[in-house]
Amino acid sequence: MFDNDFLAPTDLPQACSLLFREMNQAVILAGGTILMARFNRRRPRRRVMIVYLGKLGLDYIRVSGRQVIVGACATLADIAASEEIRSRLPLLGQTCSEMACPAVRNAATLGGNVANGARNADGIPALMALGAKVVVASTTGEEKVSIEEFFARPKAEMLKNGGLIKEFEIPALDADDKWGWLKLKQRQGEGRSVVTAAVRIKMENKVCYDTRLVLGGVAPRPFVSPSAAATLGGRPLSPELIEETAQKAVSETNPLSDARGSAWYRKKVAAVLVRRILGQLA
Amino acid sequence: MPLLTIQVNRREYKVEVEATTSLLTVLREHLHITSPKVGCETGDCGACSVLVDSRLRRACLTNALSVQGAEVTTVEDLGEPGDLHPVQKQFYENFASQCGYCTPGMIMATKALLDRNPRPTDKEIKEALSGNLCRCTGYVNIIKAVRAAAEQMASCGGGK
Repeated sequence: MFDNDFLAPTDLPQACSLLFREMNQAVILAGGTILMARFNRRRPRRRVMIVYLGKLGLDYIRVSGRQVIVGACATLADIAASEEIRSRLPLLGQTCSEMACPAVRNAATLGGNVANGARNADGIPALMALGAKVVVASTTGEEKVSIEEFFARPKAEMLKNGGLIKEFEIPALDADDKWGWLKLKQRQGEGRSVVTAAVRIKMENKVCYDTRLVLGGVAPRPFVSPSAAATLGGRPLSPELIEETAQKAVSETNPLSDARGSAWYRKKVAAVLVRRILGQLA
Repeated sequence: MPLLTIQVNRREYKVEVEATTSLLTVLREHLHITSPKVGCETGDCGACSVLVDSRLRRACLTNALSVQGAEVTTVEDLGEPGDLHPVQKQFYENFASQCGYCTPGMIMATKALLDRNPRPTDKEIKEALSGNLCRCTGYVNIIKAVRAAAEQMASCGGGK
């Protein structure tokens, strides 16, 4: 048994300098639903210093002009129940209400879902479809990057300066924004997804522009489909166009086979989800 | 080792715990409160469900030191033989339990639901219990018990 430490910093600069100083031992704890499952499976084989973020007061959800600011430690249950989210970002609200099960949603945080960065993390497709920005705090100050950029950077680079996710800045949906969200999971209470699809399209007289179609669970990371944006741009949604978009988006995937589904199955299902979502918007 | 101060079932405890210890380990091994069961330890089965500050949580996925000063409620606090809580009574009367391993978790999930939503629909009941697995009953009697508990609590003005 190692002499592990547990620290609960109460302000952000303190947390960042702690992470910076203890880089080799620090392990970030927020809701605990991922980290504790890992510890339960196998005790850490080295000394760890748990840095608990729950006392930083990062559990806010607030509106700032056209943006909704969601603190990294806001729980999935709080986000799903939030009036601000329901009225301005229903896509995110629905996502959070369909993740995991009620007891896990009461603890799990959006920041943890993103920071863990699983290939089938549901928070990521939703935030990507909404064009969210991630605010990263570190010893060198705060930086705001798009969520795609956040994942494009090596994690080690961010952690080097004691970086952690502070909040998400998400543009509220407009009246001409159409959105859809579908996920395939194995059963109701075990919410890990097999395949997820999230879409946000600006539509004027049924013509699409500025499409963000995101697929999760079918590549090392959820990704915004470049071909979907190119295919749909400036054209009205028709059954043929939907089929073409689905095929092209699926050709960009690179799924793994695992206990939840084979690569072949995931590709088939991804196409079905895209067809269904776009069909609902047509 | 860090000191954890925690209220469990309206009693205060002080325990020395290791930094990676779960609330479930504290309850069972330090405090000998054994109604929360060790099941999957990955959050899938719900056998360890407890209330932390009135919210349903997985004790196995809750770091003990992260709930420093919190108030934890387990089945032991709801009622006792001869004076059962309506949820316990209706689980008993409706045969909602066979091997019983999932029952404490089911009862806590039901309590969390009825405290928030005293007249749930069947859909809401299923959603609220979706994270609790039962491999014996097939769930039919469990849902019946939840409905009956809701009725009993409504008729006696919100339960115990």
